Amino acid sequence: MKWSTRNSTLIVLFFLVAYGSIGLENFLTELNISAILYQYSIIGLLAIGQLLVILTAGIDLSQGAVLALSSITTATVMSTLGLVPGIIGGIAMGTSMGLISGLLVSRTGMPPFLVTLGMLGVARGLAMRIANAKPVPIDLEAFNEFGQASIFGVPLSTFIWAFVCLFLYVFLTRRRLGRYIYAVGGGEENARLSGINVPNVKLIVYTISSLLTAIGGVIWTSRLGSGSPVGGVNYELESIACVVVGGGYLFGGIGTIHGTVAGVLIFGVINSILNLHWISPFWQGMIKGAFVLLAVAISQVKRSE
Amino acid sequence: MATISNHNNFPILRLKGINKSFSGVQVLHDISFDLHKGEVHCIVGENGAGKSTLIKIISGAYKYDSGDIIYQGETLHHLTPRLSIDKGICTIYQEIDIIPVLTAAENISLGNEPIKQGGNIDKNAIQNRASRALENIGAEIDINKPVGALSVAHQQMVAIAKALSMHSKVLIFDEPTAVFAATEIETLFKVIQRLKAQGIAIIYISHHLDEIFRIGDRVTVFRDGWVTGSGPVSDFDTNTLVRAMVGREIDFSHQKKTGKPGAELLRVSGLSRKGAFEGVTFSLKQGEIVGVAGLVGSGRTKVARAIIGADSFDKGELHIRGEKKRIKSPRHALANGLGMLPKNRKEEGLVLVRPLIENAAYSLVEKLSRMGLVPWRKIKHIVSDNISNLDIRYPSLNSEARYLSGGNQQKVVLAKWLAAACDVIILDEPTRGVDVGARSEIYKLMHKLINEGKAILMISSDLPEILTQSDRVLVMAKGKIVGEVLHEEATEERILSMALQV
Repeated sequence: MKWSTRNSTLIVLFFLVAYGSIGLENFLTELNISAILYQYSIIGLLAIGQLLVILTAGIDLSQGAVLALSSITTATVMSTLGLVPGIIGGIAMGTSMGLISGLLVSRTGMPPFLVTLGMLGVARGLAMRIANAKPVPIDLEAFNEFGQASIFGVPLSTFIWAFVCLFLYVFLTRRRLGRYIYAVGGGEENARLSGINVPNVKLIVYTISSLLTAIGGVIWTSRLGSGSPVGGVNYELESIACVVVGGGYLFGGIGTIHGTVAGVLIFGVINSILNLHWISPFWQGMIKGAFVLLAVAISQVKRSE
Repeated sequence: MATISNHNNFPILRLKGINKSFSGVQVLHDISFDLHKGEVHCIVGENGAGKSTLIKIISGAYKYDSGDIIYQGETLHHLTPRLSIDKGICTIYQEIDIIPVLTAAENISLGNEPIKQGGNIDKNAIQNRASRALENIGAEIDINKPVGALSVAHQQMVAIAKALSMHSKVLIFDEPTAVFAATEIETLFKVIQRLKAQGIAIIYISHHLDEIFRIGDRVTVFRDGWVTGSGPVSDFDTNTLVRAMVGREIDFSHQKKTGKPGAELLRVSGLSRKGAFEGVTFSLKQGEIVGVAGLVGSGRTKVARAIIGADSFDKGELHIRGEKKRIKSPRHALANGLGMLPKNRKEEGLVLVRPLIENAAYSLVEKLSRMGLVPWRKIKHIVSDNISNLDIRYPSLNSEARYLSGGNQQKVVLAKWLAAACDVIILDEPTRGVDVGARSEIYKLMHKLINEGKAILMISSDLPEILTQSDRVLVMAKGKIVGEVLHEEATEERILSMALQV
């Protein structure tokens, strides 16, 4: 395979950053870079979770709704029980959605598309119900500050994302369970015949996806300063796009953490470039969509080489 | 070594009264079977007789409805693939069970990865295990390439290497030589002898009866889900074995009568593609069967695919009935009367989720459609003749192709191509994985076709088949045709030595 195709994601990222740095005045500033990271660390968490699910040839359409659900749960519990119970409650609620999805996919054989689509509705409905369709403001300063905090200009949430990426990178490449995730996506029946516990592998990836989403939800809540039941719409589509642009294969078995990170950064940079050019949101959507198509076309080329 | 081993008295594995049904159809009836250490126990039977199903019950891939599995004196309940492997029962399945996106090294250790202290995978150990395992079976494969890129035979070797690298007490081979040519088979037999000497119990399923007589100690015959015979191999000969398999005697003298070939239907001149084949030149005349022999990887399928337009070529020409043609696609080939029965039935020959009768009819769809409407009923009528001629076993004509046994799926693909009514038919391994009874049906059909004035190019790794069915034999090696042998002069040794040269 040609070098250029194998590293196409990095090459694209490089050119985008180069364009931004050279062509745009305010791109390479601390303010702008931290803004990109600030916004995309949360999507980054979702994308990593999505990667794990996609590696098993599954998909998680419920991420955006789970984000909102964990947000509203965090805020609601925090207002009555305090900081720590609030965070735990939000993460637990979000993760349990993934547990349910995972159980349905792994034990009943229902297609992941349908299961997570259903969970999307359930989670969103639950979030609206808990919130009575209104946002829940949070009075705890410490919590709200945490979302805005940064170290040397790098947002705290980015550190969390980086840690998760590193942890899961080691997990996917060095642990047996990590390899089994690739095996299940690369050939589920054959993985089963090799003695791999396929249902457990599937259960784990959906749970991790929702866990990471819930963590993202807590961070998101702290930024807004309130829990919102209507946020996160279409976040899962963006996370899927990041995985695909990063070289992930929707039919399973192919994809990497570093590729997905590059995918997230590509969208972050595109977003920034378009904003600095004052391009309208409608055009932004089209351009991002075009990028996804480009990424898929490149991966087709990769596959035929 | 003065040890008296009594391993022949106590079976390491015993099956009693095993029954299994799928959706109301009973596929195994009251099966009893036992296996001793250090023996090669062969299982034979027609396609769909239940052999692979039994194997999957032993390996834990399928659950059985009733009966007992007793392993090393202990009755096993709730067997799963994991449990089976942990207990030392390793299976090499008929459908090669490797994962294409993973490398050979990763596949060989899959499910069984060596780990370092602390739980991380030991990558060096994985590399070593893979190299050693492949060396033991004489395979030269890049262990760090995704196996999806390897040839089918190499993939099978990876699957075998995987089973051999585990500490097994029982090894099950389901049609291991289906994709192998002569030298690979020899290597496998040497490996099996070695395993026997180590006291490993081996179950060996094959359609090739000569293999049974070569390496088998005992044989059990299946027919329609029943055991119809069992005992030492020395108690059987080909006829009695076949009779137990099919319930009737098979006429083995389906030697082809060599007639006078007619007009030239296809001429291939100087066909070349860099890295695949070079200077391929031959012609096919009406009424002849030309066999193409060669080792796995010698380029036969690649040439065939280039001829029918599935792949491209750099140099050379094709003449169909004397007229120079540039075939752009398989569809274009079909329109010119040229068709090919592919080697990989499941991937390239069938739409598995559609009914078998529809699959058999696909080749006629374009020819018989008028104004965009497909006369399905008419087509299916034409096709059902082919289906009954090939004696395909099915629950119903509308059963999805994926529910048929491997050999019957093959027959469906053959039925499709027979219906296509091509003048020149390329058959790539036509009887691979097909039972003895169906084999002779297929040969009869081939003879009928050439008597109607068609021509057949038959790629085969089955030397007896090449010898009995071909008017003349082209031998390929490393992408070139290295010789042509007429029927009268053809012997296994001659063909094999040509195939091995260079």
